[in-house]
Amino acid sequence: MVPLLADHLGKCHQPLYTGKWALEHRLLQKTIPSGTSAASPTTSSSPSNNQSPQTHQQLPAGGNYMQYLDLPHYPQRLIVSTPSAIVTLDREFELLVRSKLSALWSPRQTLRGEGVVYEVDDFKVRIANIMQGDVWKGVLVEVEYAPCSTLAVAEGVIRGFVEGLGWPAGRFTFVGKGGGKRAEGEEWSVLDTGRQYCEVLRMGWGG
Amino acid sequence: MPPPPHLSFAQSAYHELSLYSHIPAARQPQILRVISGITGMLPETTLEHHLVYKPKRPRQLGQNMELYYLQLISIVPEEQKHGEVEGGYDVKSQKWRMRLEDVPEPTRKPVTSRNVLGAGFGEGDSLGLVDSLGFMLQTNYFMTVSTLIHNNIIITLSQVLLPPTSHAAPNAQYGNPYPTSGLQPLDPARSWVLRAAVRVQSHQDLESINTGVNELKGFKELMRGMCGLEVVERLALDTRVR
Repeated sequence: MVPLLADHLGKCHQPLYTGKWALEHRLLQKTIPSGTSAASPTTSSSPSNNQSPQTHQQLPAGGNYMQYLDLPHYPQRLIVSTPSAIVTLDREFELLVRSKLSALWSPRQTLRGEGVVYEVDDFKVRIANIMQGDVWKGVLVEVEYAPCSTLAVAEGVIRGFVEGLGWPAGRFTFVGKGGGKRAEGEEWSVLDTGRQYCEVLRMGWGG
Repeated sequence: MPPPPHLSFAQSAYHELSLYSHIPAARQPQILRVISGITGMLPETTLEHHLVYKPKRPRQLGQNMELYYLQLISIVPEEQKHGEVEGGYDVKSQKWRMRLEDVPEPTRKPVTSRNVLGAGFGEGDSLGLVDSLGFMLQTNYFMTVSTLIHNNIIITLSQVLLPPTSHAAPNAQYGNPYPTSGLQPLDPARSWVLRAAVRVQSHQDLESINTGVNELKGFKELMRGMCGLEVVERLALDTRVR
């Protein structure tokens, strides 16, 4: 699938191959705090992209999962996301959780991505196969457009670029801070990129 | 601007060897001068904001699993004397670091020996993240810390300070250090804690541990007659939730 997408890219543009890349994503589940009702800590497998309010109500306050994301293009820190907050944090956070918060959080899913990076004019296109162990879970594509830092404007530019490639239909994610409601003139931060990745890579966890 | 790397909380994960001494208020200036003389440097003094978090107990706690208190620490910027800026301290935009100190290991070493884990936040809502990790804010305090360095020893003289209670202000649960003149020592006797600590990367690195222990023993000898540096009772430093 990665060569097919790369081939499409090559037919539409003159992409410059700039190297390989790899990402790692871990999902952890919170152990049930005492005092909450017996609602199961489910992995609702509904593939619905629309987060209905009902699925949110089943979650304990703050949600029941946490995601770590390690992206090579933001090498300094991990992106850590829960349903109610997203931050960048030193890598040692992973050690802290593994060794001292194991009573609160248990690992559930590790995904690894490996692929290639191309530059097309002002766009950077990262394509990767996503694997869970030896199981292929899909292909992830990140399109970065650097000349513009306003989310609302960038979305149109990126969407236009992706649609112009004639790739097989996929799921296009572009989530700002307020979910669908984007503030006027909202500027990009690394957390916005992290948010898109976490949305895609949690594979339906938490509804 | 990131804090200088030697400041007491700026490192992430390490093993810490330490000795402590109680310093009465009247002796603090003299002790500080003496250590300044030994180290050949002036103390670097900062005001730290500490938030102490307690984990919510899971319904089932696995065998041999422990729950620990977690701290968030940041440096309080110098107060701006701009009259018109009200409050001036924004707890949410502070650069926080997470710190989890393990209970000191049972040891016959002549020093307190414990693991410290930590991680610094970059962008985003750090306080919101800690809430969603399953922690509740338990208490907050401020600490004025003077730091000096002697070879591998980080020497700190510190005093815990509390802000006047105000429930009306937004984010009052986190505490507001301004005006800093309103901060009062937790200890009515206004005493200080002297701590001498050496950090090594791993508790398995026996050579570094021995070097650290020997440096601390040497410093204790150097301070003899001025103050007694001692091992602290292990359970007094227990960070496990009971």
